[in-house]
Amino acid sequence: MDVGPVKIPVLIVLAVTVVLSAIASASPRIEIYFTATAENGVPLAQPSTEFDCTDTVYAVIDLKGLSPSEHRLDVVWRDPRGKEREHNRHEFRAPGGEQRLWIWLRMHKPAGAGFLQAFNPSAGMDDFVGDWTVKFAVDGRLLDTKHFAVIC
Amino acid sequence: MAKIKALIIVIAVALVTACSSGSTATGIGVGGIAGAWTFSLSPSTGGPRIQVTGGLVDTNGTISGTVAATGNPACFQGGAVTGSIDGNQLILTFTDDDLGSIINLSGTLNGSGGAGNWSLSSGPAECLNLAGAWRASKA
Repeated sequence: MDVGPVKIPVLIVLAVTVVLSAIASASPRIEIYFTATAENGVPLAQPSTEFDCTDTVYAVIDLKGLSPSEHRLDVVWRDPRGKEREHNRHEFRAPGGEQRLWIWLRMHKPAGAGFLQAFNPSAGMDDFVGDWTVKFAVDGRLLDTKHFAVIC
Repeated sequence: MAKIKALIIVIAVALVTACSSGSTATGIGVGGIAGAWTFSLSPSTGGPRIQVTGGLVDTNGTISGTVAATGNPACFQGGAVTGSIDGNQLILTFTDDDLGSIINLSGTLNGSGGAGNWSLSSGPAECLNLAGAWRASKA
């Protein structure tokens, strides 16, 4: 088949488009919300983006479009100062291509803070107050970054 | 003298606390099928959809619970749930307390939703031809 010089760039663009769309369709889809409401340790669908220092913050993660093979979820929590506070890693299989997971975070006051918290509720918790950043990656690929605020 | 010592201790605790910061703890949970669900049963022959809502308990793959229903009270009003789940393969039976209707479902279910087919195998004569597809969503 004779392909003229003008058609070659068109073919290259088409090939790149096909490859990129194939890669995009192969990656899992992710939906995330934060909540502090749970029943028997199972978070409820009451999303929020503001939490108190005493709350347990749940990140509820719905993954879809997963292949039946083994997968790895990484969740990195950065406090308002940018310090990495927690890094969760979970390996799982999703035979049906879908999986719901949740990660919870609790903030603890330093020992002896009770005395000062009588005067200042956020005593010893200053590092936690403000906007948190949470990154979600599956199989080493960053799928989403979410934020929530902690107010004491 | 004792008061001064106590004051020094209090000040020391305050200073240490002011200079220290809190800690965090974290953990992970995996969504199972236990919890509140709504199953929406659409008859393939048309007519009112049966909406079944209730809580499911998963005991090592054996499912139990109770449900309430809306949509077609002549055929199903609510009752007990029994069944099993193997991986994401679901088999459920809804048994009506009063009408004696039995609805059998099979399909797939994961932590957040599912779908499959259903049929009504026992109950009022006018309901016995009911069958179709179902979808489920978790509250």
